[in-house]
Amino acid sequence: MIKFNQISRSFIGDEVETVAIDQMNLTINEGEFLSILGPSGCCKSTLLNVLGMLDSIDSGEFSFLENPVDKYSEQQRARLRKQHIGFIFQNFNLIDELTVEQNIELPLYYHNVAKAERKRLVDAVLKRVDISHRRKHLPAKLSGGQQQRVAIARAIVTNPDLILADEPTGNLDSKNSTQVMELLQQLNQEGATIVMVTHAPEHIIYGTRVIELLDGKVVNDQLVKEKLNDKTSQIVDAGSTEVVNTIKAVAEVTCG
Amino acid sequence: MGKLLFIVAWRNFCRDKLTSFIQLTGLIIGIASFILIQFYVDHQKSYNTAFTDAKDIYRINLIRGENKPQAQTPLRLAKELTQNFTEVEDATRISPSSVSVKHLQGVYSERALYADANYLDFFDFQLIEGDVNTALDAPDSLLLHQDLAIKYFSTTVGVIGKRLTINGKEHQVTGVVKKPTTPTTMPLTMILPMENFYGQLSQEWIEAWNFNATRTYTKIRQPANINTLIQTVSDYYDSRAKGLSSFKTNRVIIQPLLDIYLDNTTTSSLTPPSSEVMVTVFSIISFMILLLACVNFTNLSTAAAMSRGKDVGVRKALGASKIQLVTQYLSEAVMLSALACMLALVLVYLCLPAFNQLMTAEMVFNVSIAQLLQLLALTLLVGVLAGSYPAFYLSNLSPAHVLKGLVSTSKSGVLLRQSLIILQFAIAAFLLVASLVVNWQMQYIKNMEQGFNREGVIVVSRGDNTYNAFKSQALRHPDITSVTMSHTVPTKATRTSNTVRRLDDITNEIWVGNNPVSLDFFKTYGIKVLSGRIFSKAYVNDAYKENKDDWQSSIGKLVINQTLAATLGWSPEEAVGQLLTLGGGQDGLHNHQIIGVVEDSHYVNVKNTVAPMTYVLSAEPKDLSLRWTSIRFKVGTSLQSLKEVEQIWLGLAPNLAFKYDWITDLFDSSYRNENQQTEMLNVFTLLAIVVTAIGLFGLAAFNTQRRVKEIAVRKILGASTGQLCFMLVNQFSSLVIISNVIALPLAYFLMRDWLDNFIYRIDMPYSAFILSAVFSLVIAYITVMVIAYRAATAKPVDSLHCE
Repeated sequence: MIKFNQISRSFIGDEVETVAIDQMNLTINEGEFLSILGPSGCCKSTLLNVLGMLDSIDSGEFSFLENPVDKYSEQQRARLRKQHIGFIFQNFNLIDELTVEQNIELPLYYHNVAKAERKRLVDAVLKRVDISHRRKHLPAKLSGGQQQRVAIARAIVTNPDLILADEPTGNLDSKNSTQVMELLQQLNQEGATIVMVTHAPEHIIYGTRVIELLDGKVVNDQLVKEKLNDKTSQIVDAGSTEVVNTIKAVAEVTCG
Repeated sequence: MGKLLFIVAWRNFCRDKLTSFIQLTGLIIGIASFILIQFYVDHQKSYNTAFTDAKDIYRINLIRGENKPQAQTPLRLAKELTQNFTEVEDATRISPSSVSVKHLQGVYSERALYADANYLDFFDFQLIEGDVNTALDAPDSLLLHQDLAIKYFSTTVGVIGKRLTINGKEHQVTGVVKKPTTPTTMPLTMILPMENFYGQLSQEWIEAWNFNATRTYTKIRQPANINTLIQTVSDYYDSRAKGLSSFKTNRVIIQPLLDIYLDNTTTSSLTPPSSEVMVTVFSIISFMILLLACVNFTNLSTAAAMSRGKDVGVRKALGASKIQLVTQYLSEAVMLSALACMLALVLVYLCLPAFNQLMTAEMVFNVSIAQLLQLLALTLLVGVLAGSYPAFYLSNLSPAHVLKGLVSTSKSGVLLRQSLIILQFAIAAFLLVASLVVNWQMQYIKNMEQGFNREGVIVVSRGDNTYNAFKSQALRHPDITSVTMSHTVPTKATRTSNTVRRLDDITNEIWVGNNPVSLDFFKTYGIKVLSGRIFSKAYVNDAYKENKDDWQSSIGKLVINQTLAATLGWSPEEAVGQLLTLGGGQDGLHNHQIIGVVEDSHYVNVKNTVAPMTYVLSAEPKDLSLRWTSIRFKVGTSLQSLKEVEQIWLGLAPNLAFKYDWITDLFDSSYRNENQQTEMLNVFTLLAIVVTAIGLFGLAAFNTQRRVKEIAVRKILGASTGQLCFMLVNQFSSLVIISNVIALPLAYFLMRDWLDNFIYRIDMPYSAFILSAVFSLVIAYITVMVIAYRAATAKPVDSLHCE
């Protein structure tokens, strides 16, 4: 689905040039749930922005669903983004003045979906993230977990091929985090490709593949299954507390 | 502490450069406009104030019958007043006239004032040379304005005793008048002793109570009794003037000298008057623009205050009292307004020459101590007016709240800003409608049918002695199509002291203007004949001649205008052949036949209604004292032809200056004040719109900045640039529409009243209201679009970064 070939992206500050992505090669296949790990400032967010076509690249080739994104104009990228990608942010980025359902309806409105159809899709997705009872509320009246569920609803209401999540649980407590992660996992199992940046190694088990970044390069790229194999002697069922704790410990060792 | 105040103010000013810049620009434009308009208003009100006795000097105006007040009075009035009314301490008379000045080889036409010897006691102009006490004593005295001294003698000093021949009589310069710095309604020209004016008149006219040929000014020391005085002088005048003319009533008005310039009702003033209404209107506009600028300031300050909320929180937490905070913010506002005031002064200084040119005034930029104090007061006023809301608003914030960043949700702040925007756009929309209506009305007046063809005609004063020879020679010139002479010409006043009556309704007097003309008058002015015929050489009885011994045997035919025909109750066709009775008052009655009806033409200008008119034929120019020679040229005549005509003229009358005016120029100059004031209205309407737009720009920038994250999110969700721009722009639409809803009805009523003052007026142009609404929306859209486009095309990732 996504192919990076020698991608580079750097930022020029007042005095120094910071290389955020350094000649990176990466392929993401359809149906994957990819977690990106790495220390602060290792370019996780930049990578996600490039993937979401919110940011441009300096050099290299970037193809998305066979489209040569690196050759596209800002407008063409915007069109591609609109058609195929949904975003979930750490701080939800809901629009304060709009109600829950209006927030969710917004991308459909920008996709020129007819009103009746919009209502149908919003109803469905509200049910899907289990927030129907709060549909008329403003975001400020919701808890963090509820807000993130609304944000996820907004991201998936257009049925995107790719969901990009930037630390979706960063502002949530563990109970809400689990709910959100399970929701993402479910979406992935239903066919959505997900790329998630996370600071919480324990969440990688909801995904299928994990990469670790350092100084703009991929330093480790494994299937979640393999990764767990490396560090523990047995394959475990995700779900039991004991196992999760084990994985947490493993992940902490792995990611520092 | 003061230093700290200043430093903090300066840093805040620099912190948000765009907002500060916009605040400053708005204030500068606002204050500069205010000062400029106040200059103009002061200038208009300063006419005649430089004369020492200005407060005690009054002009005597007459109201005869239903006519407008007139400044022309009988020559004997001044003496009658000083002799019979103890309140009248002194009186002086001024009669303007055009004279021919012969100097070296040239003959020049000048406007002269014939004045009594005490002229300089009333109007104490400064003399560069000469003695104010004796300057007009000798019959051949001559007071020259300094410009004329330079014109004739190339210097303003050492000209005493030099000679000029004026109307054939030698005069000796006895004084040179210095150009005053304060404007005056006294024409700045040459002044001659009154007896030279008498010399041109018969004793009968000098003594007449109904021959009005001079302006009378009086000094009255007890203004408290002015109404009683008006009453007694009116009675005195009425008892003497009654019966001499057909006017039923004869009254006087005693008008303060200081009111003369702004009185545009009284006719035949020495200087074209301005309009008090317009001066008041401009005063109001100046305050409106100042208010707009203050509103901008307040609006942007409260908006910017949100980003300063934290500052307040910290200061309060550190123990600053409310008073200290208010002082801080208020002094910042005052400092900014002081800066704006200084820059505005510079701007005024730079703009004044252009403004003077626009208004053909000579306002000078000299700021007196009093004005400096006023300016200081203005600075304080603007600073406090504009700064108090933000100051009190900010200092009232609860530190706990602002430190959490909750300022931005203040509903009352949003409401205030929105109301202020509404106020601004209401003012702008109002001015816009007013400008449009005024412009259209003026356009209409200037372009409306005048009933005569004003292109290609020149008028020359006098020439009655040589008229016949001149006419026959001039008509040989290939570029000249016709020549005529008349008592008055279109664009100049006509005397309206005659009456006519229908034979079958002899008691019903109709007031008419009468214009004695020679042959070819209607041809020269292109006045159309509606029925019958006009005067012709072929009919010997056309020429008008009164027989004072036997009134019944007076002869002559009449041509009348359409209005008179209608007033008499006849159609143009019916009127031809009818007899009218003329005369009345001292004169006996005499009948004359109407031979033709011509279309109405505007004498003076369309500010006055067309009077019923009679035209009579003067066989020789002298018979009915014709005053103006009119010459019609072919289209596209050259300056050379004019020179050739001048040669013909001077060949016949070497002592009579050939001073000509194009009728088109006279026509235009009769609207000079209106044109200037219309232009001034346009300029300041534009400035008001600019100030409003600047304010909106600032607020839009601020609002957009606040919503930058939201814009990014919407963009990521697929919003197009167009959709985002529309969203950002549209937030102001309803405000602009509300302001129009408020302003337009007000504008409607005021403009309706204004238009009602005109005799010839346009219908209320509703399109002006639509245009104003559309225009204010467009202005708002364009202004906000600049900001919106930038925000909507920014890369969304940048906005999301700035967490």
